[in-house]
Amino acid sequence: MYKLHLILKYLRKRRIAWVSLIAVMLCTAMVLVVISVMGGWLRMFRESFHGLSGDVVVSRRSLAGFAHYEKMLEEIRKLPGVQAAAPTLRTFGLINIKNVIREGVQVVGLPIEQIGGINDFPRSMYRYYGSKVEAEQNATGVKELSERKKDELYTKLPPPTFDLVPDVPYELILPKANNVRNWPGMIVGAGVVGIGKDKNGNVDRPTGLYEAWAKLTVMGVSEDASTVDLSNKAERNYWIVDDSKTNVWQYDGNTVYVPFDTLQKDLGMEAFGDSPARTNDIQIKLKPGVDLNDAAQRIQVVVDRVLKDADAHMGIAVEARTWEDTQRVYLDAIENEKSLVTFLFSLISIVAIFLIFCIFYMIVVEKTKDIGIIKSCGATSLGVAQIFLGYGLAIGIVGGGLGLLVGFLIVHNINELHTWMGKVLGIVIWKPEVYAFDKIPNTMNPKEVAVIVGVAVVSSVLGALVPAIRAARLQPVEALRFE
Amino acid sequence: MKRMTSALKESSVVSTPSKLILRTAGLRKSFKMGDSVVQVLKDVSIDVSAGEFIAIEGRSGSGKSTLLHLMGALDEPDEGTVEFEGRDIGNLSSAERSNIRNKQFGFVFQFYHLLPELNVLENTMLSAMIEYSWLGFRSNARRFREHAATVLQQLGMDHRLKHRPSQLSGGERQRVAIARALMNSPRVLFADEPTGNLDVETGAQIMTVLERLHREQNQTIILVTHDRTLARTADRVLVLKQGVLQKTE
Repeated sequence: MYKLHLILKYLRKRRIAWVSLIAVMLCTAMVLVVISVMGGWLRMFRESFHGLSGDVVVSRRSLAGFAHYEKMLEEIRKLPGVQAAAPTLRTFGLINIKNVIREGVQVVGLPIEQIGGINDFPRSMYRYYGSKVEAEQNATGVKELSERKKDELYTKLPPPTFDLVPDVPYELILPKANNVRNWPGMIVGAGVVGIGKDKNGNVDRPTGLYEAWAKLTVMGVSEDASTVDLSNKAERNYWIVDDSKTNVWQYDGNTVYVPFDTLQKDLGMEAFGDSPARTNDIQIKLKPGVDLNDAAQRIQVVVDRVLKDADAHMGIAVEARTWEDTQRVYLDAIENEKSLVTFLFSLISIVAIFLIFCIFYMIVVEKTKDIGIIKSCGATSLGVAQIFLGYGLAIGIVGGGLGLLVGFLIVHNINELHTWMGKVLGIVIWKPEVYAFDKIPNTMNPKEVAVIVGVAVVSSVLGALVPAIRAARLQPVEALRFE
Repeated sequence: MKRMTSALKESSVVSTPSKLILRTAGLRKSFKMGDSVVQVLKDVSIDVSAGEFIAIEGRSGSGKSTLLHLMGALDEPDEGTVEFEGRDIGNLSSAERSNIRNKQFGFVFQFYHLLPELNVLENTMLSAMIEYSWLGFRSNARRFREHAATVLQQLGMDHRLKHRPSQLSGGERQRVAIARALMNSPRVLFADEPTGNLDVETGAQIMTVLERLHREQNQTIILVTHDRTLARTADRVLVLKQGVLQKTE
C-alpha cells in the first residue's frame, strides 16, 4: 500500500520529477513526430509510386522500347494471378501551351480506358474524379469524404477517356485552325500548368484550363539509329481535357499524358511493313495476395520466350521487375534516411534516460532520510526499490502518455502548423520540389506508436533502476544519520 | 495536555515487569573515521524485561544511539548478539528483521523523522500501510483510520489530522512520531533523545506521555538521553561511557 501511496505523493509533490516527466514527454513526442513524418513520407512514396505503376513492370532501358509486346500481353494475361496488363509509352518532348508555357516535359502514352484496371492513375485526374469528390462533399456538407465513400464513388464512374470536354466551343477558340475537334485530348501534370495552392491553402486552378490548346513536339528513337535524326520529329496539337495530381512531384511537375496510339504513331513505334509495333513498358496488375517476386519471375519467363520465338532476343534486355524494384533507388534512400534519423533520435533519447537517471539519483539522495524512516517502520529493501522503480514507471507512463498526446496533436496538425510558421515566422521547411509531396505526411502508425511509447516507459524504469538499487541497499541507520 | 492525559487514562493497564523480552550480549561496534577505527561499543550486555522502562544515559558520542539502533534491528553489531523474545536478530533475514521493526518495535527519534509529503494521519498509519497490501489496506482503511485517529486523540493531536509536518510545531511533530510508533501496538518502544530538539516545557510534556504509556499501558520503553533528569523518569538507568556500560541505577 505504502509504495503506491508514496509514488503518487512523490509524483504530485516533487516538482523536480516533473523535469523527468517533461523530458520523457518531449522525447516521446519528438520521436513520434519524426518517425511518423518519415514513416508517412516513405508510405506516401510507396503508395504514390505504386499507384502510378503496375505491380510488375516489363521494361527495357531504352527509349526505343521493345517489340512483340502484343504477343507478350496476350501470354501474360493468361498467366494465373494476373488481373490485367496494358502497355505504356514514355518519352520526352517540348510543349507549348497557348504560347504561354514552353518547356521540356516527360510524355507518357496511356491506353487510358485500361489504366484504371492497372493502377490508381484515374484518381489523380481532377475533372474525371477530383471534381466529383468535391461535388459530393459540397452536396453532403462533409469536409472530407471517407475512403470508403471515395471508393464507392470511383467504382461507379465509367472508364476515363481522352475525349474532348463537352460544351467547349473549340471552333470559336481557334477559328482559323482546321479540324480542331479532331485534335486529341491531353492530361497535364498539375505542376506543368502551375496548379498550386493560394495563401489560404485552397487549390488555385487557372481559369480556362480546359479550353487551352497545347502543341507537343516529340522525337522517335529507332532501334537501329546510331545518331539522333532531328528531322524525325513529330508535332501535334492537343486540347487539355484534364489535369493530374498524383502527389509525386517529379510526375506532377513535368509530365503530360496523351493517348497511347497517338504517341506510338508520333514516335514511329507503330507497326509498318515487317516492323512490329513497339512500346516502352507493360504494366501488370496482379490479383490480391499474389507474390510479387514470384509473379515477376513467371512473367520474365514469358517475355524471354516471346522474344526467343520471334527471334528478337539477341542484345535486347527486357526485364520484368516488381514495382518496388523499379523505384528501389528512391525507396532505399528514404528507408535509409528514416533509419538514420531514428538512430539519431534514439541517441537523443539516451540523453533523456541519463537525465532521468540524474534526477532520480538526486531524488534518492534527497530522500535518503525518508528511506531510513520507512525502513525503520518495517519496509523491506525490495519495497524501497519498488517505490523508485514504480516512480520511474509512473513518470514513464504519464510522460509517455502526454508525449503521445502532444505528438498526435503535432502530427495531425503538422501542415497547419507549417503554414502558420511560414506566415508568422517566415520559416518554410517542407519544400514540395525537394520532398516530392506537397503535403507533410500526417498519419501515425499504431505499431510504431506502441513501440515508441513502450520504449519511453522502459527507458524511464531503466533510468530509475540504479538509483532504486542504491536506495534499496541503504541500511536504515545510514539513511537516518544522513545529513 | 489535559485532553491527552485523560485519553491515556481511559485505556490504563498496570502490570509489573517480568518476562525477558530483549537481551544483548557482548555487543561491539566500531566505525571507520578516515584511516582510524573508532570503537563505539565495547562488550555491552543488557537484559530488558517486558513492561520495563529503561533509560540509557550518556554523553554525546558515548555510543547510546548506536546501542539503541543495534537493539532496534536498525543496524548490525560487529560482535555480540541481540535477542528478541529468545530469537537472535542477527540470524534473521533482512525481510524478517523488517517484519520485527514493523510489528514489534516502534521508534521515536530526536528529529521526529516524519515524511514531509504525508499528512499527520498518513504518517501515523505508515506502519499499517507497510504491513498490508494495497487491497488489504483498502479493505481495512476505515478501521486503520479510526485507530490512528484514536491514538492521535490520546496524544492530543486529533485536531491536526490533515496537517503536514511542516505545519506543526516541534512538540506536535514529536507527538505524531509517537503516534506512528504506537500505531501497530509495538512490544518495545525505542525513543532516541525524544526531547532533544524541544524546549523544556514541551520536552516535559513528551516525557509525561512516555511515562504514562509505560505506567498505564505497561509499554516496554527504551529511552536514550544525555539528560540525567529525564533518565530518572525510567525504572532503570544504564549509564554508557565511551562505549562501556558503567553502572545500573
